[in-house]
Amino acid sequence: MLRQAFINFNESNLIVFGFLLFFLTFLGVLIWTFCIQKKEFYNILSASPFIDGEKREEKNGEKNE
Amino acid sequence: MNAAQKNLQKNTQKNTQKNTQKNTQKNVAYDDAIVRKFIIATMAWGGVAFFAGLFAALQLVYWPFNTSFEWFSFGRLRPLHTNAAIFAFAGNAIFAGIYHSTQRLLRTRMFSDLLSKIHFWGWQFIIVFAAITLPLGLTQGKEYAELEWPIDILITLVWVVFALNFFGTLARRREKHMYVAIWFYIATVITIAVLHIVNSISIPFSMFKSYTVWAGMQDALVQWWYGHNAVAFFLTTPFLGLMYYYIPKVVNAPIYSYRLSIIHFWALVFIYIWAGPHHLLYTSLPDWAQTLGMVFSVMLWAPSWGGMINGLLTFKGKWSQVRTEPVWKFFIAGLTFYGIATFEGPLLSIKSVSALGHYTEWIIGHVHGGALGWNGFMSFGMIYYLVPKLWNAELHSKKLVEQHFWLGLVGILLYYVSMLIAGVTQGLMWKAVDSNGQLVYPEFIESVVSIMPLYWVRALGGALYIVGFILMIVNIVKTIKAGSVTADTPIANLQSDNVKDGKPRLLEGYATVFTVLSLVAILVGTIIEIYPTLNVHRYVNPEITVKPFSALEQEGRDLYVREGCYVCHSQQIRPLVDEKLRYGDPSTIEESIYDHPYQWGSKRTGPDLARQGQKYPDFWHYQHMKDPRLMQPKSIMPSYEWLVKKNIDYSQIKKKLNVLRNLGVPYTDEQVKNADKDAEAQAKIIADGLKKDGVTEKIEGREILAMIAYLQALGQKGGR
Repeated sequence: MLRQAFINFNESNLIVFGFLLFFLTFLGVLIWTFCIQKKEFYNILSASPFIDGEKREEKNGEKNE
Repeated sequence: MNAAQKNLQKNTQKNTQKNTQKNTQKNVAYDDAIVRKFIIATMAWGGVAFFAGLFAALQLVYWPFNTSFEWFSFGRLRPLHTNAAIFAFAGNAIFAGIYHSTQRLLRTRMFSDLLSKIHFWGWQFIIVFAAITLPLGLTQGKEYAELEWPIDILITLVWVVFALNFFGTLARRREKHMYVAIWFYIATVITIAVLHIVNSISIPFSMFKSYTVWAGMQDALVQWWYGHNAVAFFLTTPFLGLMYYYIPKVVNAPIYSYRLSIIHFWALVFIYIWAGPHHLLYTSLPDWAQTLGMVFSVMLWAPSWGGMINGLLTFKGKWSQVRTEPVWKFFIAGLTFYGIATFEGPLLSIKSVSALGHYTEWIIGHVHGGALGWNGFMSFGMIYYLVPKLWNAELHSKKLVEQHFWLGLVGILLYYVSMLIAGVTQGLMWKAVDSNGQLVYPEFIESVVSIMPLYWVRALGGALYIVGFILMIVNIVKTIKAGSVTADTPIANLQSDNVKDGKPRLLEGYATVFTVLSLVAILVGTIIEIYPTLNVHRYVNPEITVKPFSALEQEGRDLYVREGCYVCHSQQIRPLVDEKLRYGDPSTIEESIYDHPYQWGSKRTGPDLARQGQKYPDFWHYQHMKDPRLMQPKSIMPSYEWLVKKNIDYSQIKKKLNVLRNLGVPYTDEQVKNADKDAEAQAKIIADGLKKDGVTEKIEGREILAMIAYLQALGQKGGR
């Protein structure tokens, strides 16, 4: 059945189709990341490695947030 | 109450107390024991992988290191080394990191301690089985997928256990939104499952042997779709996940740009899956698929470097501390090697560069830059970070860490630079054509001899890397001895569970949706690439006939696979001037149409063998297999004396031909029915001929006859 679906599908069309899919996905991710989502949300997410309860190390006099 | 009863009561009370404590701890603490187990396994198997690699490197500079034991010949040892490095060393390292970081990022214990234990022990058994079967020559003959069908099934089961445990943990997390490291782990879990299952489909003909269902070009494409993405989704995405977790932890600062990490993830996952065909440039794979693989490989530059830059910039403002924190050096150098490898990979995927670099040592250098630098150094950095925490001790010696780093770094650089120079030298020597249009170096051995000093440098680099690794083992053992394993780390803010806070979730909060989207991202490329394998007959000229191998030749082919000849010899002549001059007409898609598995190879330590048939007499092959130095004094090929001593196993031949017929190889009923007798008859003809040429040893029924039959059939079955 899958073979039938592809039987008239030209190879160059496949390449173009592949690129189109990629660029659409890429564009979607860009819009999602930079236009739809808020920076504050990402600030919270980027702090995730520090929510585990382990004490943040202080090095060379550096102060933890 | 007598003393025995008192004792019993005391023990019962003690056990109940212990169990209650354990159960309470289970609900409030992370499972650190499983992480400790994986760390120890990483260090143990790392030793095996590195020593096997060094031994294999020494076999190339001094052939007697192949010994007269068949189990230690290069063709069998090399798959053991690669499997140990990828699945045992790197595999255990990523599991350690995933189990440690996932629990903390989701603020929950792993879904099931039992599943964690089954995963750990199941994986170790797989490695042990691999370490036993590969030296025995039980291999499917597909790079990084050599393990035979029972082990493949075990890998599938253990991976399912891991997936259940991982997704179960996701389901009971206390953090609503998943951090980017978790995304990379999700991509790893689902993609490896898809890759492994599709590439490993095979039909068994005995307890430990099978034929892959894929053949020739189909097999090559599926294999490199798997092979390249094994690198992508076993050696890259999980390590990137670890990078996004451990670098912020050691630096004590969030990742430089979280937005960049999102772009990095989606672009990488989407693009990587398409890149496999760059391993098959100039082969008989349809041109459009080669171009597709090449272009997507070049596009990989952007997300890969985006990830590397994001990691390195996390150290911004803290570079001065690198001098005093040797563990940081491992992460920084690891990221740098990631950058080098992901710059070089796309470069090598460009067709004109591939024409020079493919089949040469350059590829070996490229692979080891990634494996030793990126995977090795990231693993070491993680181990140095985790061990003091998990065993409650200060790191025994920072000085030893420093020494480990510099020894390792110099080792990798010696390895990488020597192989880069060796590869370019080989490529240029193979291609050199004089003004008369003749090859400047017509003898393949000339290129082997010219790079021999560089093989020594490579071995030295590997040895230095191992010395550094031994220092790490000493350091870690002393740290562990000084420490103590007390209770597991308590889960932070146990009462806070923002999953159920009633506030809206964003995409990062829906694990199932996220997993499905990741699956779709990898399936798009997969389906488009696998497309030609469903339509292979569109690319085959129906007027060109190809005869399948005779029963004895097929038996010889299985011996060729058993001995790992494909590790050093290709069977694919590219349509390039020098290859036509050296080896003959370019290979066609038809020639390998019945090859289960394909044997195109990926490396030429020795010459291509696609047109080897009838080039030399049987006696030449007999002498050459027994001791290659008799025919080529400077050869570095192992001696295959055991082929002259071991008998052909005629008992399996009918079954083999029957399975191959079921897979589409056009054997007649008669050929299958008389396979053993036909094979014996052909072996007798070859043996009689060898006796006439002066062979005095007893060779009747010996494996060497099947091997000669196969070698003489190469390029002689039509298809052109």
